[in-house]
Amino acid sequence: MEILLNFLETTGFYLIFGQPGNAIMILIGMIFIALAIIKDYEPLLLLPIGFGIIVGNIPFIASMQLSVYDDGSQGGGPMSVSVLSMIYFGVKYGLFPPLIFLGIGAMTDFSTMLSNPKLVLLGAAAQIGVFLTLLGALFLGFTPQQAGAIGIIGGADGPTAIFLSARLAPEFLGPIAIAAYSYMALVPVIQPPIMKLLTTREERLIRMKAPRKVSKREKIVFPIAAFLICTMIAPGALVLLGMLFFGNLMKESGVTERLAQTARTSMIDVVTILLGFAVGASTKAQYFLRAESLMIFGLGAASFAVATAGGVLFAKFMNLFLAEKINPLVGAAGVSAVPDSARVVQMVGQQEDPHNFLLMHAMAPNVAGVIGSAVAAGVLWSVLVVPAQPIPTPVGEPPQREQIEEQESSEPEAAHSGSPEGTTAFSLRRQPQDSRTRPDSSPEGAAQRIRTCFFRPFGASETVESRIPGTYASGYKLSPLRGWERTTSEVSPLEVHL
Amino acid sequence: MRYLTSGLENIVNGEGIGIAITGLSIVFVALALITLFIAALPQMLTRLENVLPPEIEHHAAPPAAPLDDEPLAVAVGFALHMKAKDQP
Repeated sequence: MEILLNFLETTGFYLIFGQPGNAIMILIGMIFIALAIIKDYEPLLLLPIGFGIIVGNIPFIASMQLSVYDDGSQGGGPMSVSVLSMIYFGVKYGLFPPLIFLGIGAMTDFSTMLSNPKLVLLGAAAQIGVFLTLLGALFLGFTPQQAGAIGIIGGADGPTAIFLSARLAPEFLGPIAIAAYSYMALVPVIQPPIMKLLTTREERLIRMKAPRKVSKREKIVFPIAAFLICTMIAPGALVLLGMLFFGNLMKESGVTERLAQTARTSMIDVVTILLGFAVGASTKAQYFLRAESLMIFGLGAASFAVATAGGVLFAKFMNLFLAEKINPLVGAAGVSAVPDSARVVQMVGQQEDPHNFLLMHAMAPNVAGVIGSAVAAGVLWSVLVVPAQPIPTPVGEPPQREQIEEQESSEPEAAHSGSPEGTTAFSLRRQPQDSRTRPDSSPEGAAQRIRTCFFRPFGASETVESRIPGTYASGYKLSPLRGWERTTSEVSPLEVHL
Repeated sequence: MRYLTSGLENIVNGEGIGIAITGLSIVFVALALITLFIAALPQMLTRLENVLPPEIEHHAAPPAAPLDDEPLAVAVGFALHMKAKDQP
């Protein structure tokens, strides 16, 4: 009987009374699923996310490592790493977004953009949503890093939002991802009122010239050149844009059709499932239901609205100088959200004139928006990433152990506070791990680097080959502690290894 | 929970205006350069026409089988015949 009672205390039905937040999140998950199935709002995203939310909010006792956050970092050995955390690895470390971009690249046709290059600027104009939201988030008291991650919701690009927030504000990854994908699903609801508000009927009736035929050579050269242009300006966008344009090159080259086919079908489907499910499962009520999440949702909605307005207004601005007018509705497609915002443009355009086909024209700013949001993410990452601490150059003789111990005992708080200024525990003046090793500028040092850098294990300063016959495993020396000079001894490699 | 304190000084302290203007400018520059490149691309390719290899379709699909349009021709012929027959 006692066993049964103990078991009952571990059930979700029992635990959920103490954690009502989980019940709310489960309800939200069900709403997501209902929106996907009944309203057909982005079912490919909302269904996995919705079910993931339900999975991530089933209460369980703390000793059972089941959530995405049980990644072994709290100790407990390999068995403390949950399966969900392994799936979440791809979100947490930004693995899934580039793979999604590879698939997007393999399914994107840049022809309309190549045939009407001025529409690319609409993709840039819509990024104003990103930067105005950044200001809004700063105003509300978020740190610059968090504000940057929140602002990128305005890029209307889920993978980019996840990629950037994983780097700048991992503590808000769940709310940002959910907000980005939710608003992407709600593009048909958010955008039309803004588009109609900012345009006149005459403007919505503008018909645009049919796009010209683009040669195969243009399509092949474009991804390479555009990648070089963007990443030379914003190297932070290298991973996302690299995969996007690589996927597109696979498609357009014609020689890797099989790879392109896999990237745009099976691969992107698998990654979408894992990404959506893992993002949903990360919305554990204890982490998700807080005031900041509500602010993020509010800022995200504002971001989408501002981005849409920015694109439409910039199209109207361009019309002041253009002989061949642009239908300002296509500016709304500058928020990436491929291809939903382009579809919305087509829908709103056809409400005024059923014979006006804007879809192809809207695809140009739409794909330009993908590039623009990735560049914006790269810029924000470059500007807002916490700079690495410079490695101090050792001067004079290395301090003796006794001197260091004496110094540490005189300032115990700094020694154990874990602050960047102080030393961390468990080591003598040891700074947080830095994978960089101090370069030896001498010619011998350069040669040594070339010999060993490709073969040494991670974190090792150099490899040490064993010369005992029959033993083939190579040993390695750990990187020297900061502030200590590497000393060269005359001992043989065999002695070092032993 | 950490309570956020809102205020314009947050934007100033976080160099928000500078980040926003710089960021948006960089995005515009990047996409403007792409625009210029795309606009110049057809001319560039035309000039390099003699250097570049001819465009070929790799792994092109096999030629489609000739359309079996005999039933269609019969239907069209029948329709024309009926139309001609109806006319005085």
